[in-house]
Amino acid sequence: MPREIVITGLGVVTPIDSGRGVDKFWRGLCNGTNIIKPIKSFNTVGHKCHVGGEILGFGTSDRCSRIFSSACKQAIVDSRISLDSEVCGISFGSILAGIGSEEQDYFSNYTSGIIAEQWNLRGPNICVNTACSSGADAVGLAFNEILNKRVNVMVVGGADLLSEFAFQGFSALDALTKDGLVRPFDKNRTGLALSEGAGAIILEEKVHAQRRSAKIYASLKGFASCSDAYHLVRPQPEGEGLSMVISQAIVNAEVNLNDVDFINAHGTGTSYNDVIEAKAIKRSFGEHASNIKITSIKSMIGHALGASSVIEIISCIKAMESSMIPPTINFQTSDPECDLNYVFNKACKSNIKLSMSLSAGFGGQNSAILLGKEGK
Amino acid sequence: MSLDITISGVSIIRGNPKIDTELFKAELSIIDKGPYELNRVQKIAAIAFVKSLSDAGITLNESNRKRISIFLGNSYAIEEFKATFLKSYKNTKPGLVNPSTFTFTTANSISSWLGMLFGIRGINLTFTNGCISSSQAIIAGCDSIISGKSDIAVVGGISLICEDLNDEFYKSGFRHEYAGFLVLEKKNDLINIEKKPLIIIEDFLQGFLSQVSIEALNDRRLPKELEKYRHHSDTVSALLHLGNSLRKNKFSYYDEKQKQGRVSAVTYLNDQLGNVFSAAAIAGISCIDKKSVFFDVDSYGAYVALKINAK
Repeated sequence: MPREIVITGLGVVTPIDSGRGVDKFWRGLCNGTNIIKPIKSFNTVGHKCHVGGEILGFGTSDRCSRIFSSACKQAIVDSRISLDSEVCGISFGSILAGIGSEEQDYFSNYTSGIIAEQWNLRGPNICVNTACSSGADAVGLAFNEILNKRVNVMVVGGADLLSEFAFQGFSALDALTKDGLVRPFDKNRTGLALSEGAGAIILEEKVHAQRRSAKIYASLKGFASCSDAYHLVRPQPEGEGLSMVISQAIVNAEVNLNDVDFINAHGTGTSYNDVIEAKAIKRSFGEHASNIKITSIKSMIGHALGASSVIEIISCIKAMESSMIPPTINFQTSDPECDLNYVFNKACKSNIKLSMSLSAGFGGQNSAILLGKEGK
Repeated sequence: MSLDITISGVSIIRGNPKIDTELFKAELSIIDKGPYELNRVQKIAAIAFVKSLSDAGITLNESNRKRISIFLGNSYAIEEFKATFLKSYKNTKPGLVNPSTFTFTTANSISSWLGMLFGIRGINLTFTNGCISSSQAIIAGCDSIISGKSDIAVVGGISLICEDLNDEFYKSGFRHEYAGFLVLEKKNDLINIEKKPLIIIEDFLQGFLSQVSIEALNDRRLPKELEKYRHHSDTVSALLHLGNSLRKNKFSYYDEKQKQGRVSAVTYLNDQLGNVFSAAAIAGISCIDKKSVFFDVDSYGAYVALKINAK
């Protein structure tokens, strides 16, 4: 009998909550709060974009580890698990890790090592970088660890900073918003806004969670990851790779694709991404695609790179728990190529049983995570 | 129960200190046909990749490209690009910065590019666990085969010198450039049936060492985490990459007087191998020729142990 894997703890640090917890984060999202503002931490003169999502506090020294540590602490405390009594592991996704901190010369394993030491995590210690899919792949790798009975509990997360380094790179690629707004799926969208943050979840084997009477937020039903093998910065134009992971995640989860109610899209607000994502969803779901409610919280909190997928998984879980879908804000003009059932400008009530979080990254990386409402 | 994963192909490219790509003209003539000349790391990765598939006797075709996955350990091989891009934007007006360097500043760019070059569309993951990166790649490769998500996993590690990187980093034992790949397949399901299994991966362990175990290692004793493997062979082959001087180094292998770490081969792995960081497991396993346990640790205590049966 395959093991069932559930989520028993959540932690998040984004500009919308500044580390004050998941409830604050969720309220901000459902209220459609736009935190994309002029960047203060470095000079943007001469660039077409001047905005981003910055978190208040956490200092400049070792900032990435501090932010991630805060998210992990929230998730661990929330799960009420005693980490001293058993072997647990950590899986961490990040793209640029220490870049952006005052001390720049450290790598992902420094951050995961700090958390492991801090919380006595003696199990697997995994660091993965698959660009903007890093967080999702960290979840997938942790999923495998529990599924293969190596551990019962994994702390999983992603973190990245809004650094001048990343800003310069995305600016040079002409991927950043030019009108100060992130408007995914809008005909007049001009690009993404970088932000920073961390997300952390506690993945746990279901029976293990039930034995200790843990609160179960959701079940992690399926996961898939692949490469487009097309271009280093552009996704395959027909969305083949993204479509493949959507279908594989559904097959792996052994669910009916018509039961998927909600997708938290990668939804960066770039002209390429949003159209290709719409094609991939249609390709995988066929006629059912138009029934699925879709949103992009990047419209509010920007793109936190390696952290974004874990933050978006948390958003999916909260959406299922509260039967509420946060909006894609800043929408004005329909794009005929993005013609799906998007939740624009205002949160909407919706009973969600199965939700999916999609991620895509440089190098043609694609990941899909399928989550089920607890008890469904 | 044994995992029965076979290493059916091995390739290693080593420099002293730097890899000379001129030595691989034949391999490069097959690969480097695009409109632009490949950069150095692309050439090195592609040469090593091609050689590993060739060693396993595997020819790529449309039917197997979706069933092959790539797992790469790469913590430091793109540092040159980071340094170049940083200099570029510090010295150039916004709008004139060349974005092409930036695309190679994410660690996954190498494995993704290999996927593009060879049309391989399976799982493609890059591990950034410092010195245990390639060990993590091997574990993920084994998992992908066991779970049926891949038929073949090409797992590798790459570690190149970046002149701009912190001096202390290089004093920590980074003496050679190294790139290598292993081709993993199911023991009883080899693509090339004439190929004799080279090395079998029977099992693995991973975790984060306790202080007691770190002390045991520093005393050259078997840490308790490896007790399970005590009787697998007479010795634990340990390639310990503990000289990393970045910070918070808790291992006593760092020699304060000489300002360099000692790369220690506890048993028969060649002491001259040097610290090859993200390529360590590839380098280490390719040296093993008997029943053994390969043990790999990063600077902070994360470890991987691979139970190997080589004949």
